[in-house]
Amino acid sequence: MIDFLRELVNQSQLYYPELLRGYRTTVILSVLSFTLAMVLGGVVALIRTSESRPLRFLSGIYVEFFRNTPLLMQLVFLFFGLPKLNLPLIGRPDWFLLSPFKAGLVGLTLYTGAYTAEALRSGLLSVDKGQTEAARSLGLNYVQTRIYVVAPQALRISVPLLTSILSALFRNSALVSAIGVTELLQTAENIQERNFQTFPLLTIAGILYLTLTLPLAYASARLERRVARAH
Amino acid sequence: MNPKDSAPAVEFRDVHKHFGKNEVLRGISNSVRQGETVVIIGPSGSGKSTLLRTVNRLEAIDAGEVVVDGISVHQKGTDVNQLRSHVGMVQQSFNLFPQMTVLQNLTLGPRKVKNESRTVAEDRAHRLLERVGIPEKAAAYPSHLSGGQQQRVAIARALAMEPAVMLFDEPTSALDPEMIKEVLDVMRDLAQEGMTMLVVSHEMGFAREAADRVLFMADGVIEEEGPPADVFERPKSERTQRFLSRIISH
Repeated sequence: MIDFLRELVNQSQLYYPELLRGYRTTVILSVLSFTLAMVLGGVVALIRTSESRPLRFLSGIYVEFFRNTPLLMQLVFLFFGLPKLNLPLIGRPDWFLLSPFKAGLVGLTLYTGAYTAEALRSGLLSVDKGQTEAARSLGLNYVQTRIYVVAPQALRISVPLLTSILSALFRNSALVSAIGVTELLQTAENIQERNFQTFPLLTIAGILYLTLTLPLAYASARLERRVARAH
Repeated sequence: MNPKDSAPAVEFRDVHKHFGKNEVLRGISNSVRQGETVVIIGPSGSGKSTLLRTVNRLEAIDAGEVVVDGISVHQKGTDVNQLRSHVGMVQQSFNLFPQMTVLQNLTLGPRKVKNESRTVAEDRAHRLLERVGIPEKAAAYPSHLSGGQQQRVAIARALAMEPAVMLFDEPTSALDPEMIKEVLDVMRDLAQEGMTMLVVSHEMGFAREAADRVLFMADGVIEEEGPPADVFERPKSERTQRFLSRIISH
């Protein structure tokens, strides 16, 4: 045990620049794709609760597809499969999907967007109908009512759920190592291939993931209590 | 005389409406003059609120016509947002926007619907808060107000659009008894200032004092109408008598 701890400190000292680079990639990738997933999920949630049946159907297909297939499969398909299809623009091998980072970003965004869409949709649906009626009675149109009155309330209701989605995203981002992104887990992997200190390095990576997810878990629990009190 | 003054503010022409098999409005015809205060009373399920909600098209109708200021509300080409911007509505459950301050609640409509500048909208909002007796609450959030204060803000919010007609859908039903008066006082003042008002209410005292005319509705028809003195003291229809005796006995 003492040896193990000593090795943890030793490995950290030896490889912290490399490990921190991987950590940074994980944070950037996750935060960027979460931001994009919020925009995507917001639009999809508005469409999924709209009055248009065909649009509701199409957005439903998107959400169910990305929530019900493995993320790893989606990433592999995006990076390795799509270029082989020779589709116009997106399928061309020289297009953006060539970069593993960009493919990872797109993959995580599409996957996480399906979850943020569901979280925001349930938020939108739980805003009291009287709010919509009051806004429409003032003469606000459908879009104004949703944007100024309903959406801000829905967002507030969805915050605890969104926090746990972000936490899941930090953990899911490790999967982009499969398409060659050198994020945190892949960095640890790379180092242990050279020195065989597998468990100390995995432990260090695990601790670094916890520095991202534990504060979120704490914030999520607090926010949930606050929303519960407000109701 | 201005021709607009002689035209009715709201006119119902043989309005029919059903929910499924249940016919809630069975041929309503009536007209509300400019500046008139009409209180609609009747047992629950009689169609009072539904009738009120047809005026700003929160409720569609199946046959007939509702005309507000010469505009046919339910006709296909009618710009419903334009129409609603000059028909104010106050609902039973206030429905203030909780994420906005009182001031923002009052300026949202004028700014987004009428494209008013912030200063113009805020000046009017402050004047209206003065009028409903809570000028000091401009910066407060709705959750920090009492029910009576919230409903007065809701009235001010509707007035901020400078409506030609005000609809009140049981405005005091969700209030604690000690707060009912402050809301009714505001409504009474409005009626005296000549606002055209259609009020669904169980407040018989208010109807008696403030109404120019009372409509008694039962089973989707207007069973009886007239000045409050007549309807309350000398009801002609047996159903009106029964309803009133039940209400007054407790």
